[in-house]
Amino acid sequence: MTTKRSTRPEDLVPLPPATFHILLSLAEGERHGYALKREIAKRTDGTLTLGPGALYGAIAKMLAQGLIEESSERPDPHLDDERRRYYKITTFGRKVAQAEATRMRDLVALAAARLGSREIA
Amino acid sequence: MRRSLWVYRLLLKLYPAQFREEYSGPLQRQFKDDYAEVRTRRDVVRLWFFTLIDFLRSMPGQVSREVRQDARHCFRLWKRRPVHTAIIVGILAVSIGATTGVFSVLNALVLRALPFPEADRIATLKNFGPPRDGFHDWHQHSPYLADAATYDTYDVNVQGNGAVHRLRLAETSWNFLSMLGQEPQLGRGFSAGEDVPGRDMIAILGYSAWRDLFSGDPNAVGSPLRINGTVFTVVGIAPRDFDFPQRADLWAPTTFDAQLIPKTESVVFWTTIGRLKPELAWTQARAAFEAEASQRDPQRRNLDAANRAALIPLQDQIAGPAKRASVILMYAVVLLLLVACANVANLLLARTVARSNELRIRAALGASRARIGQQLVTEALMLTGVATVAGLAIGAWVTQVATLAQPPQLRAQSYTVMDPRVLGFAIGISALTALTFIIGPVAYASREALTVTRAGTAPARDTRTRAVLTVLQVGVAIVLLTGSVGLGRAFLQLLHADGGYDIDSIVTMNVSLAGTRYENASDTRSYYDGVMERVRRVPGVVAVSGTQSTPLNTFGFPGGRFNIDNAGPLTMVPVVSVEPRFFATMGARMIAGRDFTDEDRTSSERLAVINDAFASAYGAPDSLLNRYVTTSRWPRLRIVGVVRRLRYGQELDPGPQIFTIAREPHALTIVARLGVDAGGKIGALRQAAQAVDPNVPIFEIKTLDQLLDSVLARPRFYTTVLVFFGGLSLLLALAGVYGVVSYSTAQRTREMGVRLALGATPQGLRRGLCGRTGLMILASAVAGTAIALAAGKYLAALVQGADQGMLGTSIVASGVTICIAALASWSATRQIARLDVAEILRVEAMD
Repeated sequence: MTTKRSTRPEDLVPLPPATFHILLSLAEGERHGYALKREIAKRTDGTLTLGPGALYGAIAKMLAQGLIEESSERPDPHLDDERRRYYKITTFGRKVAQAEATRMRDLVALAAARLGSREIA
Repeated sequence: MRRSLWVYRLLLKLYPAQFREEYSGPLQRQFKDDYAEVRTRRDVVRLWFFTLIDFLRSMPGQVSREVRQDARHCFRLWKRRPVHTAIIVGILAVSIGATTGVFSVLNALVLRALPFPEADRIATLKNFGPPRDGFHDWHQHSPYLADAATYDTYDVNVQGNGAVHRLRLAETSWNFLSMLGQEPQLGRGFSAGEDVPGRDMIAILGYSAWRDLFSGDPNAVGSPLRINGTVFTVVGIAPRDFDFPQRADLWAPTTFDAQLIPKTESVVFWTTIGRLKPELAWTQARAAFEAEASQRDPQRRNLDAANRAALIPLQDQIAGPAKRASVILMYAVVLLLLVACANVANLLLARTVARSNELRIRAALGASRARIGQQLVTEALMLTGVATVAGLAIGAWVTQVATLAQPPQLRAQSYTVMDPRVLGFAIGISALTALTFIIGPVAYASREALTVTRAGTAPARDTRTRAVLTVLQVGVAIVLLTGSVGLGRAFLQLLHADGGYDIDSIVTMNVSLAGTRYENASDTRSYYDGVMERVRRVPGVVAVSGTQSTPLNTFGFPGGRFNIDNAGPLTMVPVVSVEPRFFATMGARMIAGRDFTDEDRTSSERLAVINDAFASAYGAPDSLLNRYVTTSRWPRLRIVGVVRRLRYGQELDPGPQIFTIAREPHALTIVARLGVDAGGKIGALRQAAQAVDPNVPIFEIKTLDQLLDSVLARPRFYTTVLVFFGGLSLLLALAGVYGVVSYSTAQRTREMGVRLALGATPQGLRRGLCGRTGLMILASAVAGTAIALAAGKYLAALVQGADQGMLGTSIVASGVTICIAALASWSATRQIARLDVAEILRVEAMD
């Protein structure tokens, strides 16, 4: 049972921060859940730490929206030999992330024009 | 670590099924990863703190996501079977509505405390008369009462600030309000000793009477007030919602001074209420009271329960017979709700069985038992949710019907659905209902649909239970249907019964001269004549007369034992005083002789008109003219006319009646006959009657149609209740038969397929299935008819004439029920005609 897939990337922006960060992490390559969590925490200096419920809640929704898909399961080479689920970004997910980045860039440009580029540097 | 993981697994069980199944593994793995980084005890606490926060934040989103999914799926199912869904929602709405409605009456009468401090410690001393002299001395020395007050109520004419109103007065002892813990919101209450003659001409006005008479002016305190002509001083205004007893409008400490306020009524009923001594249990108080009562009046002890002295909680006394009626109704509606649950369970079970293929496909695609169970539970909650909203509307209607039949005695007891307790009850009962009827389908879904076995037949015991339930339902439906048709017919008969007069064109108006300046005989006559003259001049009025007893509104007359010419047995006959031209005005039919005339009023001889019921025992009406009605106590009355009997109460046959000419009554009902629509003239009539003297209140101006409505409120209530139960039981029987038959049809799909393949025709199979149900239905029809016939005499106790023609009624009711049941079972088997033999056999071969 999936939610009806949105056809245009613009329909999904603005994205929740967690979703955007997950897309950015997956844009670099496939990751499993725990790696995602760690990477996002590190990238945001710990301001965005995703608990298991929040992380997999976001993943479930993103799967339903077609932003990401599951890759095959395999052992995590860094930790132990437990099998983990890996996720990868879809083409649609990449477009949505780009749309979000464009939105943010436009917003920053607007802020720079109004406030002066020094204040927002 | 292991213990923490175990706790975390428990926590995961609270997530909705699909999310839990999909992600329980990764969630546990991440929890383990996090736990692996923990070093100190503090870290453990921190981890758990963030885990709990994470759980609380993420769960609502997941729940709402899955509920939305289930709801969409559910709507699709409803759209596919709209009739089936409507029947289920209808059954649930009506039974939840009826239960909620009756509960709101019970809530108002029994559960909601009376609006007095420590109201549960206040008692009524039933059938017990404390001394009138030395009343306060008596309760001060009482071993069980801390305080006691006494009261009686009357309708009186009250003149204050220029206007005259008809209000309800409570004559009380001085401590009545203080005993109930009431403080006037303006002015003062009564003080000790103010209920002694000479000091008792003071009154407390009720809030709404204060608004009506004085437009809420605080200067009303200290103003004079004429109660039936006697001058009182207003000393206080009662709290806004205080209207005890019997919706009283004003209170005066005159209960021990019976002659002070002139009254039209000749009998006074005093009631005593008391507050139990602190810390004295009810049982102890009762024992002490009974000891005192039997010492005071030893004979009373041997009377039946209704007449024996008793110490009962005030709340029970106020609730009165309505409490018992609503408790009985509550049992009935709860029983109904249970039957409804059983039926809905059957219907849903049949549908679940019919959906077993879909469920199996979903299971094969990875949906677990829990997921499918959750979906069924969501469907059940949605069904009851919709039904509860509709049910609350039905409940509100039930409270309206109940208010008409048995109006609450106090404003604080008004029946309403909009009460936290009632709403809580409705939600609770709906949730329970959903739980009750969903257990079967969920159990089936997890037992049958998910195990890849052939859909077997139900255990014999289950099938038998369902069959017995159906037989019972059909039987009960016939009994109730017969009863409701019988009552309904009797009610229509009451409604259209010939009262002996024209009901469409007559308006009645009440006048009481108590305490007005017309009290002495000559003024009384001139006042009445003036009123009648003015009323006669209102355009559209054809004739005017009067009577001392309002038609359709009198229950109990003065009367005596009479015969004619001292011959024959003395019979108990009510005597009704009327004005000249009464019978012509009412449109009554004179059988012999004449109506009363103006001259009769001054005649030295006493005259009478008797009705046909009284005359019939003595001979032909014509032969009775100028003979005498005789009695041992009164002077004899010469018969001048014989009239067809007139209906005064709600009885169908009024029995013998004697009419005499009214002399100078203190209270009179004026009747006006109109040639035009009576209802539209009420304003003009009131104005005309009031014009003679604005200081005499004219009250209860009503058409006979309106009076008939209120007289028939009780029979209408019984009829409504039984028609309601009859209709619902028919609906339930229909749903019951449909559910049972479609369940067994769905279960035997394969067997049917094989039979079809072997040459049986769909029609033949349907006939076979329906035939078996038909036998069951016939058996219950016979039993139901027998019970309905036996129950006839109980119905007649509720509404007169309900037991007539019961045999015909019950045969028709059985016929209707059988037809509906046959229709239900035929339509429940219609899927047999649509069976695809090849498909069934293919599945059979795969199994």
